Amino acid sequence: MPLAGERFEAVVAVMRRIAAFADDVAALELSPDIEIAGVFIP
Amino acid sequence: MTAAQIARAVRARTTTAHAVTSAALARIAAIDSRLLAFTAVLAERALATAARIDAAVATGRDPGPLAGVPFAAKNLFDVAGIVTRAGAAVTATDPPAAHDAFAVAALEAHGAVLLGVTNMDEFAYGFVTENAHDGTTRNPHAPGRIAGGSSGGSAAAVGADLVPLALGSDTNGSIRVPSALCGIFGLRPTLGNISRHGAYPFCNSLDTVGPFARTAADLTLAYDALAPTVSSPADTVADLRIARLGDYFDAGLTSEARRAVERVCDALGTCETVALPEAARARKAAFVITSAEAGELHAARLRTNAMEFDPATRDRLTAGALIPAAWYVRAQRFRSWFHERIDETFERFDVLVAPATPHSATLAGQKSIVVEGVETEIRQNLGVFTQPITLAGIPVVSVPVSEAGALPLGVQLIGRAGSERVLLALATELERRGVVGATAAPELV
Repeated sequence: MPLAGERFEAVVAVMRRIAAFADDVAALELSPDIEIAGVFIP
Repeated sequence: MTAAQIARAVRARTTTAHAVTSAALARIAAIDSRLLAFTAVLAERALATAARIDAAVATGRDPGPLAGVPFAAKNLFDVAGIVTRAGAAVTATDPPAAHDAFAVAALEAHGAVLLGVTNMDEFAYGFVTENAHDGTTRNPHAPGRIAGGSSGGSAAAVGADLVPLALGSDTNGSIRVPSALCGIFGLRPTLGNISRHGAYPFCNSLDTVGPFARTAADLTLAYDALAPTVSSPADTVADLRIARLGDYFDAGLTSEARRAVERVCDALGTCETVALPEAARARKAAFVITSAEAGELHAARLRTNAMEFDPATRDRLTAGALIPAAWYVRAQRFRSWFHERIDETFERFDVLVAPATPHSATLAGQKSIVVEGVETEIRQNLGVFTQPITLAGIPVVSVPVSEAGALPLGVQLIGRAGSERVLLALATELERRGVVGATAAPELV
């Protein structure tokens, strides 16, 4: 299914929102030494 | 009747599981066409289960603390013999489940009777249960309004007293939001405390499953069946150090939602307000992680069957499948950092109190709402107070608070990891004092 036209615009709009959130999280500038814990869930 | 009352009556032979099950099935048949809580009613299976329970009682065996208690399960739980749709059409041709999900089997092992499976936002991606394939689940307190989501069918079924217990899942608020809007109790457990085996995933590193009930005692009964060996017991609630979450959690909510929190805090004698560090970023990190994991999960089907998805989820899942890995890694790094801030907060307090939603149930189909002068999109904003807590992986009991003549609201009682029974004891005490509690929904027949 090609991603074009209105669908493309809709997906890009969502990605812009995610990008804004991701940028704000990154702005905290946490140390890359912080360990990302593995998650095991039964 | 509550679950506890039903089980007591079945064990004492003053009624039978068959009679309880038959009555519940009849009520569903009479009401659910207006509610759209159920997507499939499993009458044959339910009556067969009830017959086994009655046979056990007749021969002197105890069916368990949920003897004869009807329950429903969100249609993302495996139920042997039927397809696990997870609210989607694209899954309709999947093979039927071979076994029951852990949570379904656990409740039935304690004597409960599964009556059917319930409506949800497609793949649990939403807070409204306006499903393009199965319709909009209606709020039992106001059928023109939403039940909340994504476990809206389960919450509405309990709120309308079709069943005393139901199962849902909560990734970003999908138990707490519909609990609040339908005026019932709901539990999001500590991440990992209730097995998700046999539950269709949404966001693997954040998903939990848990129960809904109309009383705190019934919620506790369900939790005891679902997680019998974990969580420390609650000795007393008298000495708990309780604080109200302020700052982020005291903005962008209606005066009614704020009063609901104040009512609980006043009853608990809670004066101190504490800010949860970086709560707004915690919500954003949860959003990024959810987008990435859910997008990855559905990427293969999106390539081949995108137009079979609900439009409300399709574009979000597609976007999630396309985002850079760096965004996801940074969000998970933030999550580790946030866990430490949560631990620091719980060195000072045992329970934190916060609103469950910024407002009560909105009209079905309504897109936006103005709160404190700001217009916000309902679908995105209903989880604004649940989503930051999600990232911490800690347990929450959502308790129902109602003002006379007003729609119900919910308040989150938030505890440190493994403190479910403390929260349940606190909810029980608040219910005993009349501060919180489910109210009867108007008769829908």
